[in-house]
Parts: sequence; C-alpha cells; structure tokens
Amino acid sequence: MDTDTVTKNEHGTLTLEMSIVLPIFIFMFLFIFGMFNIIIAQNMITHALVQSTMSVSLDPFLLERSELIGETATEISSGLSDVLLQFIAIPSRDSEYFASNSDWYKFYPDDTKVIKERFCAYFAGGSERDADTKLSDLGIENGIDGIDFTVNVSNKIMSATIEYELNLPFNFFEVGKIPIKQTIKQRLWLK
Amino acid sequence: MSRKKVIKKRIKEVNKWLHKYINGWKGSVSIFLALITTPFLSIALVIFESARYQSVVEMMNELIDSAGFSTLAEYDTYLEDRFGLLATAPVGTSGVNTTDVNSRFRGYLANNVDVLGNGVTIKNSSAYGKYALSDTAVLRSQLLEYGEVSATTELVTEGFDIDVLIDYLMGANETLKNIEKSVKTINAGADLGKDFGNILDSIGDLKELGSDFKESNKEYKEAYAEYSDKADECSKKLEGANDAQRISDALDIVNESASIYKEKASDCKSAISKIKSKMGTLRTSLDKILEDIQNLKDGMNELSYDERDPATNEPFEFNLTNDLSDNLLAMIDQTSDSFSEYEVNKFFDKCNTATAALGEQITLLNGIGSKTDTDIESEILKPVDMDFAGDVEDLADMAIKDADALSPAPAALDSVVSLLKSVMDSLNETTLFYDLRLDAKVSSEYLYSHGVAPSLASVMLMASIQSMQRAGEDYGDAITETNFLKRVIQKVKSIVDLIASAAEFIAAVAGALIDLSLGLADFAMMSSDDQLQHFILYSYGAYNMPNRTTYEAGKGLSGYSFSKIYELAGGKYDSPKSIIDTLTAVQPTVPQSPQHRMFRGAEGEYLLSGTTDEAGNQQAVFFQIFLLRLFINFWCLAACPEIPKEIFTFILYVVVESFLDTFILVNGGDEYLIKLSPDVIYTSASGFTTLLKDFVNTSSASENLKKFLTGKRTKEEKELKNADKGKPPKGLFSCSYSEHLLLLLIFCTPESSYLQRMQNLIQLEAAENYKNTASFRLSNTYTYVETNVDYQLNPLFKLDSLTGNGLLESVSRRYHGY
Repeated sequence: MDTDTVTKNEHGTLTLEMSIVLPIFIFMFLFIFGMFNIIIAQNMITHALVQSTMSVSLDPFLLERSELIGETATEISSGLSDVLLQFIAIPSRDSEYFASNSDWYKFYPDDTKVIKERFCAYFAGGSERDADTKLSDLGIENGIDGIDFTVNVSNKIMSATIEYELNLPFNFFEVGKIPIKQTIKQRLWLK
Repeated sequence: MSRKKVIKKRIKEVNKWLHKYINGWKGSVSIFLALITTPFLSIALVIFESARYQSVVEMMNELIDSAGFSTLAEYDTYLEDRFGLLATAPVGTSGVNTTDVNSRFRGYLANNVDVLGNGVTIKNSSAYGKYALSDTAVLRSQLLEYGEVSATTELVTEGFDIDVLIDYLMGANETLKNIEKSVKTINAGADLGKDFGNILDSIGDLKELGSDFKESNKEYKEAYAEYSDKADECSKKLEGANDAQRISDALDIVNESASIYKEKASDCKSAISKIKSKMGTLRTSLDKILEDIQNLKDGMNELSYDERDPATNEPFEFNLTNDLSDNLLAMIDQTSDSFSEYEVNKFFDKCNTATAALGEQITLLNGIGSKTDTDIESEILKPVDMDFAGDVEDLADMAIKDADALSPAPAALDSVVSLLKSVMDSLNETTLFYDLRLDAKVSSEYLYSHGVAPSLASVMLMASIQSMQRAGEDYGDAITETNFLKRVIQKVKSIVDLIASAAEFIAAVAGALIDLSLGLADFAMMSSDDQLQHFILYSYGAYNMPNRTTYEAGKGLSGYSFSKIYELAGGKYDSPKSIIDTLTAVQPTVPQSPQHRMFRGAEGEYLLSGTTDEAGNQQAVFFQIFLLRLFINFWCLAACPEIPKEIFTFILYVVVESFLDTFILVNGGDEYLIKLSPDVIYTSASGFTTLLKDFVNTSSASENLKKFLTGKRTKEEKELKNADKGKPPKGLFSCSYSEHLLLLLIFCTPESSYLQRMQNLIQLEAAENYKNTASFRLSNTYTYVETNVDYQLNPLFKLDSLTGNGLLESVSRRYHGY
C-alpha cells in the first residue's frame, strides 16, 4: 500500500481525536475555573459569617451601655437621650443592619433573624436583596434563601451555622452542586 | 522542478517516515495539546493553589481574630460595672473563669478552625495579655474613653461652663496678686513683733539677773560682816601667842571666812558680767527693731496707694498698720527710751568700776592665807560699793511699766481670739471633720502604687491656724496670770504671736493662691482639647467615686450604687454618721485600728489627699475645701460692702464664712462657688436667713425641722424667685461637695498622682470583690491580647504519602484590644 492510500484511509482521525481530547482539556480548565469560584464564594461567605458573628456577639454589650447612658441622658432630655443612643448603638456604619437593639439572646436564643440580617450586612453591605443577588451570582443555590441559618446560645457562647449548596459555574447534568456547612462559635459580650 | 512539486515531495517523505516509525498522524493532536497546555495548566494550578493559600491565610487571620475577640469578651464584669473599664477577667478559683488568657484563646480557636476543613493544621498557638490597667497611660486612655460620654453628660447636667469659670477665677487671681504686697507688709510687722518679743524676753531675763545680783550683793555684804568678826577674833587669839600651832589655828579662823567672802565677791562679779551681756543683747535687739520699723514704714507707704478694692477701686482699708502703731510701736519707743545709750553707758560705767574693785579684792583675798598676824588688821578688806544693784530691776520695770496698759487688744482681737479658739475646737472635733462611718485605715500592702505627700500650702495654712489658736489660748492664759511681769510679757507676746500667725495665715493663703494660680495657669495654657480631656479625666474621679456626701445614696457614672461599696467594705448603717447622729451614739461600731482592705466610701477624698487613712483624708479634704472657700471668699468678701475691712475682723469674717460654707458642703448642701450678692454671704447682715435655709437643707438637720422649714422655705422661695426675675444673679455656679472636689482635683492634683490613686482604688475594690473567687491584681487586667499561631498550609489534595505535611508554614501574630 502506497503512502497516499494510507493517508487517505486516515482521513478524519485528527478531527476525531480533536473532538475527543479537546473537550477534556476544556473541562479541565473549566474545573479549575470552578474551583476558583468555589474558593472565592467560600471565602466571602466565611468572611461574612465570621464578621457577622463577631458583630452580633458585641450587641449585648452595646445594648447595655446604651441603655445605661440612655438612663442618664434621659434625665437631661429625651432628645439628647435619642442622640446618645444613636451614637452608642450604631457606632460605625450608616445602616441599622450593623447593630441591633434587640436582646434576642436572652429570650429567643435560637432566633436567626438577627444573624441573618447581620450576615447580609457584612456580605453585601446592606439589604437582604443585595445579598441575594450577590450570592446568586456566586452560584449559591437559591441565593440567600438557599442558606439555612441555625443559631444556638449556650453558656454565653453563640454557635452560628450556615448550610448551603454551591453550584459550579458550568453545572452540566446537575452534578456540580457542592453542599457546604460552616459553623462559627463566638463568645457573647454578655455579663 | 517547480516549487509546488518540491513541497509535495517533502510531505510524502514525512508521511513515509511517520508511517514507518510512529504510526502516522494518530495522537498527534493529543501530543500537541499536551505540550501546549501543560505549562499553562501548571501555571494555572500554581496560581490557584497560591490563591487558595492566600485565602486560607486570610481566613485563618479572621478566625484568630474571632478567637481573640471571644477571649476579650470574657471581660472583667466588675471592672465594667463599677468603673466602666474593660480588661480581661481575672483567673478565678471557681466558676467559669478558671482559665487564663492563653487557655481561653486556644479553646476558642480550636472551636472554629474546622471551618477551613483540611486547609490548615495548627502546630502551635498561644496568647498573652498586654497593656494592663497598671500602666497609667492605658488607664488614662480608658478613663477618657469612658468619661467622654458619661462624665460629659454629668457636667452638662450640673451646668458647668468651664470657660466662664476659668475666666472668672483668672480675673480673681490677677486681683488677688496685689494682696501679696499686703502679705509682705504684714510679714514686716510680724518680724517687728517677733523682735520685740525677743526684747521683752531679754527684759524679763534682765530683771531676773538684777534680782540675782541684788541677792548676791546682800550675801556679799553678810559675808563681809562674818569675815570682819572672824578677823577680830583672830586678832584677839594672836595676842600673846608664841607657838606656831596657836598662830596657825588663829589664822585658819579668818581664812575660812575670807574664802566665803571671796566666793560672794566672785558671785557679784559674775552677776554683773551677765547683766552687762544681757544689756548688750538688748541693745543689739533694739538696733534690729529700728530696721524692722523702717521696713514696716516702707510697706505701709506701699500699701497706702497700691491696694485697691476690685469692686470699688478704692484703697483697701486694712487697719493692721494702725494696730501695730498703736500698740507695738508705742511700747518699742518706751523701751527704747529706757535703754537709751546714755542710761546704758552710765550703768556700764558703774558696772566696770565695781568689777575692777571686786577683781582686786578677790586677788588680795586669795593671798590672805600667807599673811602674818601683824598684817591681819590691815588686810580686813571692806566691801565694794554696789548700791546700783537695785537699779537693774527698776530699769526692767521701767521699760515695761506701761506695757500692761498699752497691751489691750484692738477692738476685734478678743472676738477673733475667742472665735478662732471655738472654730479650732470645732475642727478638732473629729465628728465634724469626718463621717465616723468612713474611717478605714487601709494597709499599704493592698495598694498597687503608693500615694503622694499632701500639698505644702495646706500644711502651712493648717499650721498657721493652729498657731493662731495657740496664741489665742496664750492670751487667755496671760490675762489670768497674777505675776505682773509674767502677765505683761505673756500678754504682749501672745499678741505678737497672734499678729505673726495672722501673717503666716495670710502668707499660707497666698501660698495656696500661688498653688491654685499655677494650677489655673497650667489649665488656662492648655489647648481647648487638652482642657476638655483634663476635665473629663478628673470628672470621672469626682463623679464615679463615692465621697462622704454621696456614699449612701449616690451612684457612679455607670449607675453603680455607692452603697454597695460601703457594704462591700463591711460598713454598717447603724454606726454614727455625723455630728448630730454622734450626739446620741454611745460608741462607734466601726473598728478603729484594723488594717482594712479598702476604703468604705471616702474614695473621692483619697483621690485628692492620697493617704491611707480614710478619716484623715476626709479631714484633709475638709480643710482643702475650707481653703478653696477661703481663696474664693477672700475676694468675694473684700468686694462685699457689708463686710468690715479691719484686718482681724476681716480675717474673722473670711474664716467664719468659709467654715460655714464647708460645713454646709460636707453635709450635702450646695454653695455658690462665687458669691456675688450679700444675700448669700452668711456673715453679712443680709445673709443670715440664707444660712438658716442652707443649714436645714444639709443632711445633719433633723427631718422634722427640715420639713417644717422647707415648707415655709418653698413658699418664700417662690416669692423670691418671682421677685428676683430680671435681677443680677446672687452667685455663680451652685456647686456641691463633689464639684468642689472636682475643682480641687483639677487644680491641685498632678495627673500622675491622680492616676496612681485611681489605680489603688481599682485594685482595692476589685480585690475585695473577688476575694473569695479569684486573685485580682491590676497588673493582670489586660486590655490587649497578643496571639501567636503557628500553622501549616495543606495542599488542595492532601495525600500524605505523596505530599507529606505540606511545604508551607505560616506564623500569625495578631493584636486584639478593647
């Protein structure tokens, strides 16, 4: 068999090989890209969780101090009292999401409202809607609604847990959902 | 051959080679992609891993911060509740705080590190407390931070306008500087008085010497008579005596009496010598007093045109100089005349003649033992004439004969003396000076840092008032003295002492003024930010520490009830509290001697005076407030037209006014810091009603009396309030005891001392609070936590057989603080 005949018989092998090998390489790159995405998402969520638990843990202290100074200030005038409460209770940001006047830890120690709000504040800097959009963009299944918050306060230690599923950016055949569970324990600034 | 054919030929050759050696083109794409993508993929994976590492490092830092934050959350609740300070909780012997900072941190870190999965393996972790409250800079920072809102709120409530206060005090200060000139003049008068006192002492001594001389002269004459008799007897025995023994016996008789005669002659000579010496001293003292007189005259001239009343710009009419000229100067003139140069020289001549004759006689008498019988008759030495011996006593009496008549006190002196005596007696009543319930004596072993000595000005003023009291008592004793000479000398000396102590008193007031001026000047020189900081810092102490007026019902800035401190210290409410309570109390139930572990409630007083004796601190602050009131009232009363300006009377008024102010303040009343109207100056004719009202408002007044008078007072006050509308204020800054304490702290207590004392108070209280559960030490109250975590970064796919323990390690050192 001469060379030409052999060559003619192998026509299409390159295409065939390309069609098999190239997707593998592409998937490999997409996987790496997906891993980047997972790292980024997990990092952002963990950061928000740590910061929000730290912030929530300080609420009891701020609340007690603001009540105390409020008492003193009320003796002068109610207007000044309000100013002082505002000044003490919300020390650094211009949003009520970063501080709470509720003493939930005493009466509703498993209420997730405060921790969820605080998580949104530290995650997106504001409302739940902003957090939802950002979480969805990161591939969190169902955005903020897809995160299951659990809070427990025991012996002055708050345990905050979040569970969620993370979608890979290229979620073929619905196999790319990664379930993640993170728990942070934080000592409350409680007497 | 064409170019195209050449290419085809080459391709055929390559195909032939490929088919012959590597099975044609199959797999070439894979090889190509592998060659091309491997480097890219490797780089991508390295970047990915490094990004993951970076992410893990950052997350690890956050977790460390979180654990550090949890560690800080275990703060000392007592320090926070009581003092508003934040520091780590002490290591307890029971309960939850049984671990130290390191253990707490490690526990919290272990709780959370799982959030990173297998990303890290912690190799070592530790935490150390740093920047304890035992560092005054740290304490200062926390006090300022806490006081920024709480103390400022309190100050706003009290209506303190520091700018107005400073302006006023500085203005008063400038005016009062002129009074220093008066002090110089008064001091010159005091020097004059002291020197004259020395002269009087010398005159007294001289009179005693004169009396001794007279006695010696008498004995001398008697010895001569004896000697003369013995000489006659000797002459008779010698008549017809032949043997040596009889002659010797006869001579012995005369020798013995001659020896006595000689001794008496020596006594006279010695007495004359002493008299001469004393008179010489008197002359020197008189010369010195002439110099003092000149100084006084200069001061009087200066006073006469320099002193101005700040209110009216009229010269101050202190009559001190008249008092001096009317009494002392007249006496000095008289004494000076008595001891004129002529009289003294004439006396000295007589003394010299007698001394020479006595010397000669003594020499002859020394040799009388060697004389023979034939010489005896001629050797009977007649006594030297010393008739002037009685003149010395007469001279001394002459010098002070009119002093008794001249010495009666100026019009106000008697009342000053008696009032000073009663004031000092009252002050010496400890029940008034301090609250008996607050009498802890804290052992220095419980303190963290030791206190500072009290101010010199306070000590001086106290000493001068005590001197005045002593002089007053001496004057009282002198009046009842029966011996003329003693009476006159003691009376005159007590007046002189009184004048001198009055001068000391004013000098001490001036010293205190200078201290206060320096404090004021320092404060005024500060920037407004520093002034505010200073005010906040000291306000914290004044309002957050109990004092004798607040320890029962008061609260600190944090809302902490001061009564808890009293109870914590073991105080009992059934023990006597004040002078009125004490009247019905049999014995105080609080023990006096044990070494206590903390103060019972006079902690504000400790901040100012700094001793470990709680009662002593109360006394010192009583005096300090008395002094502050003196400082202010001196000026306020000088400007009041109803207050007389005669010096003793004026001092009397200032002392009484200040005493009444202080009495009302320590019993929980309020006083205008600066009194503008005579209505609020108790010692003025118009102020007595106000005194009564303020007195019933103090805690010492009985409830029934208070209720009765308060109802009346309310009605009167309403009327007064309506009537006073549109009128100028009666005073500036209605201040309580605590506010007086605040002002004294600001102007008289160095910041370093203040902070050290604050540390002691924190240490004492907290240690007592934790005595059954933990060992509290201020040096362990950390405001910062340094954490060190050594960890290993694990690879993404951790296969121990291939990757071992990971290649990268990291050490994180973080600081967390309140």
